[in-house]
Amino acid sequence: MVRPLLRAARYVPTSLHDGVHVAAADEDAFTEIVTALERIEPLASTPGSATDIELVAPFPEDLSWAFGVVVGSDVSLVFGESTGAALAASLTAAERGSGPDCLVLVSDGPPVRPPDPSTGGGSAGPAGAAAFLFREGVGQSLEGQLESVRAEPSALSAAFELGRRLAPSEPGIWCGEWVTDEAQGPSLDPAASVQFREVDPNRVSEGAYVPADRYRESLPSRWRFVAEKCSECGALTFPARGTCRNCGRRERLLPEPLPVNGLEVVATTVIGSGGQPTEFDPQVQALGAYEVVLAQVAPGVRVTLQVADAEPGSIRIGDRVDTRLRRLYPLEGEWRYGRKAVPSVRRTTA
Amino acid sequence: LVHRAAIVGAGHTRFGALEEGPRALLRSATEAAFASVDRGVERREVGEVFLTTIGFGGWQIGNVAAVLAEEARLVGVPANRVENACASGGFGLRAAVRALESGGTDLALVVGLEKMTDLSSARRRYWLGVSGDTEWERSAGLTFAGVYGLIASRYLALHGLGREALAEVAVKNHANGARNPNAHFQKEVTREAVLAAPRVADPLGLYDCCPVSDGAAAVLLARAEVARKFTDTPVYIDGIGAGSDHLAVQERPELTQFAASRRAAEAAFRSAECEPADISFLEVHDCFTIAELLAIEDLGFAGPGGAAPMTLEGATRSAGRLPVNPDGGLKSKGHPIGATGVSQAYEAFLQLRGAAGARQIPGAERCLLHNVGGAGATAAVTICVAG
Repeated sequence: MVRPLLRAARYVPTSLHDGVHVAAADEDAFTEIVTALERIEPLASTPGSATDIELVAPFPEDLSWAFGVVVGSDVSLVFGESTGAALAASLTAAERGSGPDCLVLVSDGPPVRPPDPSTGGGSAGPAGAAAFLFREGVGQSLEGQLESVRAEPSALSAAFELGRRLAPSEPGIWCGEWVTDEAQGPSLDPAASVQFREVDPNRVSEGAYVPADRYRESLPSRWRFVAEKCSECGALTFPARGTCRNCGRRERLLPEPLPVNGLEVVATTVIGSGGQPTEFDPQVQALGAYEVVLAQVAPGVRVTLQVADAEPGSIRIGDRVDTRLRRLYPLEGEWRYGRKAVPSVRRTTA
Repeated sequence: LVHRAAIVGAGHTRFGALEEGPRALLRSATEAAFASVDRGVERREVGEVFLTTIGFGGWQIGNVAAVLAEEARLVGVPANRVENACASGGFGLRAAVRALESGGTDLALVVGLEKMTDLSSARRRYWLGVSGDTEWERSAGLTFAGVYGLIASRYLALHGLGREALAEVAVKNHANGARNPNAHFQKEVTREAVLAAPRVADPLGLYDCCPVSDGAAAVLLARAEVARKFTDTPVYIDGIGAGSDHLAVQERPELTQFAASRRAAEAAFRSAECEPADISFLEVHDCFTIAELLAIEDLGFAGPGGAAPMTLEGATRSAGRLPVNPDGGLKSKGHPIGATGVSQAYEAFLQLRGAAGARQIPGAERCLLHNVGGAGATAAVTICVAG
């Protein structure tokens, strides 16, 4: 019998402003699931080892490749609808399973596809995710807990409630948080609920045109900071592009995941007053400005990151930032995702 | 010492938001260059033409050098287009010098052109960003202002400076531009106004950025050996150098130095057999105020952080010991992208012949032209000497 070992949960609170729910504009069901996964990984004994993933989420099946990139390997992904009944079924199956580690991911939130340009746009709503990792011989049985889960119409609220009940018995392994209470959430500007609108494809592209194929082949670098390490000279090349930047070698370049948290800021700028590319106009209109930093990821490796969840101008050179997968902007009917910087729990250089 | 080529004629349109379209701009600059040749020139003597342009807005992106041949009344002559974003002009000069050195022709025409103000604001900002790294830097929300904003933040923090050092570059270049009848902005600005302007990409404000301009510039280059057939006072090109770097700033080990500029400068000084102390004035690529400070250091005229005190002390003003951008620079003269490098050669032609009027640098004998592509991915340096 395997038991749920670790759970992670995160919920982006919605706040009511003038009767309208608002939430961080660059988060959705997908980014929240990734956040939950990344919270589990460092605590699991063999990170990224889960090969079976049950997804209880309103998620289009044709995006399953995206989870393979996030986990860094091929995964067998089972999709389920986002109801308490579906969650209870997935948890029961996972607990009975005897094979490799299994993850059950639960999510709810705004659609992971951008709105149709012809309809003029849609807003980001509340997003959240929870995750349960099952391991042999540890943890607590879910027996007797699932009846109420089954009765919940929303899988996410059922997952939060279950996590809340299980957590006290395993205080050392709960790594989640949930904030559904308006008072506990970070204060969010109502304008942060950005109305995203994709540029009409019949007009000339006004966004940085990175074709879908080029975007997808860069995803290990973009989403997980996977560099190439030269087995000959040891140099790191990031983003990975098949040639060692130091010695020019094109063979035996090994994938090397770099840290995604605790990165030192080496330069920073606040973009506003027309200094933004046109695809970021809605963001500047809504928020006034945004900050972009250059952060040191590893020796010889730096990455450019937009800052989220912080007042523009609040990050200083020498500060540490963590990173999260977020929405960047829509192009050709797809959200483009990438990592953004958020203030680190370790704010300053040690 | 071997001269590599000679400028024997040069022409320049007004820079700014102009009525004229691209063909009219090509025609004006070219006609002016031909008219400026002291002893005249037969069109059939021109064996090669180069058009340096980024093709801003998409007007005739491909094969546009043929349009230059038409407007220069040189249809039939081999026509080349050279594009390295903002460094197109500098690389076009270099290509023409190489063509002359190879002996294929005695005379080459280089024309730089950009028509930027006839686009919608959204389309213009699209075009302004596509010469940087689109996959990483742009997708984080940066245009060139943003990339230079990052560089400026690092430079100021590294050397313990405030925005005043940047503002002084703008004040000085506007003062110079006020004396240049071709400049986009012909008015002085105060330090207070520069510091108070809206921040486009902090620490850079609106007055730290060059404007979006239309314009064209043209030079006629001759093989050094035949230069005196056209004029008694050619301006010789003695040194030419160029370099490149990673496209994305995030991939470079140094944020406050442009390796491409350093490499280009070393090569140019080596080929001209001279050193910084021999240079009377600089024309540098000040697309943003921070870029002028980096240029002064990259070209060997100051150590790291040394350009800021030089600028604050007034050394780079026209009356200072090392005048920088006497024509107003990109900041005040304007920056029609592909025209900028050729415009610098036009300034060399005037200054080194004592014909720069109100902005003449007394006794100017040798100058250095510095042209950067984007945020330092490419750079070209040219050293000119009075004949």
